[in-house]
Amino acid sequence: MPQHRPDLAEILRTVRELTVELAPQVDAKGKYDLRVAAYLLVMAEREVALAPALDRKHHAQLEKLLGHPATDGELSARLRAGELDDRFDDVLAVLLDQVADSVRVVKPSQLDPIHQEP
Amino acid sequence: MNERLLAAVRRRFGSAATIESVVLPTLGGSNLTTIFDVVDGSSAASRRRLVARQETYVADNTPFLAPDRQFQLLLVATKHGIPCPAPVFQLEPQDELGRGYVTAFVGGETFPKRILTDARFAGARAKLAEQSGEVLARLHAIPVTEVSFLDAQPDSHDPLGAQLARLDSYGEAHPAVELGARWLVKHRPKNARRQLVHGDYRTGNLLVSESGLEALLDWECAHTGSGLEDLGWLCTRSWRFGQNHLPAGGFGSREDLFAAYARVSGSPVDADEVHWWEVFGLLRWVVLNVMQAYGHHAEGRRSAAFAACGRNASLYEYELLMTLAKRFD
Repeated sequence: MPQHRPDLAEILRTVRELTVELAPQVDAKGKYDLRVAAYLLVMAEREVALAPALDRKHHAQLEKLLGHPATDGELSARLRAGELDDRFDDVLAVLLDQVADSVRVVKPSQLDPIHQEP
Repeated sequence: MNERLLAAVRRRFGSAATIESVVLPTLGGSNLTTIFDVVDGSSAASRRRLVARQETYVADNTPFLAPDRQFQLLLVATKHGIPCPAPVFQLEPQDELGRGYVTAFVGGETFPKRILTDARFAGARAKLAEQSGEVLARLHAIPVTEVSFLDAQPDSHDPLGAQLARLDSYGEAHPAVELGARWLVKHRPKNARRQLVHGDYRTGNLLVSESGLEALLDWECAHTGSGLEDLGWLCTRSWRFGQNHLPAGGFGSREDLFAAYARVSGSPVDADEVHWWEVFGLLRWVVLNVMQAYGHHAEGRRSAAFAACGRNASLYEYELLMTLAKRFD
């Protein structure tokens, strides 16, 4: 259902800006808490922007790897059972790409240059 | 809370004792820490600065050593001259402060960024790798018969199995952890050493002064196993806090750490085994972050920081996989 402005991304940004505004009014513990809040909010802003494309890519990669539509739960169970031991390098390449995409949402500054956007 | 602490202190130090200068440091993921002075009223010389640690993480799947066993362990470590906060007394049910214990306060810095970058710690940094090798070698030489109570920790029998069992209890799939576990299964070191392992020896749990290492804190992850686990955990990338060119805790080289350890222990360090424990450490750090998020999500330990831990698990999965891909060292 369409909503009026602000959209979700702008709501998150608005609250994050509020954490910055409030910081001078609170003690050291409060400042730390506000920094954590801002950290979570900026992550959520990136997720709103990136999730649709990253979700599609994630599912397509799992389907290609396992030959059918699959979940992280199925991949985890098959890895635990040793069923993919002979495809270790293939699985590593896919998971590294997927985890790098997670980092793109969580904290992109942590990415190695090989995973930075051009 | 302070009334109960005062009553607890008076049970041990007499009814004239008072507590002063109470500080609640805002850190620690699984304990409530209170720093305070005890003054018994007779003279200023009787003033002692103490630290109370109260358990806040109470759950069946807790990975942490019960407080009474931590206390016993501190007694053993102190007896063997390992620098650690001297144990003073245990909390009892009548104290109404939950489970925990009180130790002497040791002054110094624990905050990683200050230890690793402030100019005033430059001299300490130059020594910390060697001091770490020495103290760990001495710790690992303590007869395990003196810490037989650590046999109850699952980590004492199957460290990787213990991590995976905990991960399973949090009910969230982590394929990156599973892949790391397969690598660990296939490259398991062939040794059967059984030593006292601190279990959380890393930058952030080392109390450091300008002259170097003062004390080892946070003994709640202790168990028995290969002492090289402690060397690997110290070198795990997450504990370098950005100083990635200094693998030993962000302050030193593996070579200096290993050389000091070999000199004191009398046997060379198997660098491949330490690497195995570094990979294990990355996996374990992911699982610990998943644990914090699970506590926030499902067990009532609500905290924005614990919520962030859940998402930060991706950052450590990334370090784990980049290490398996031989891109990170």
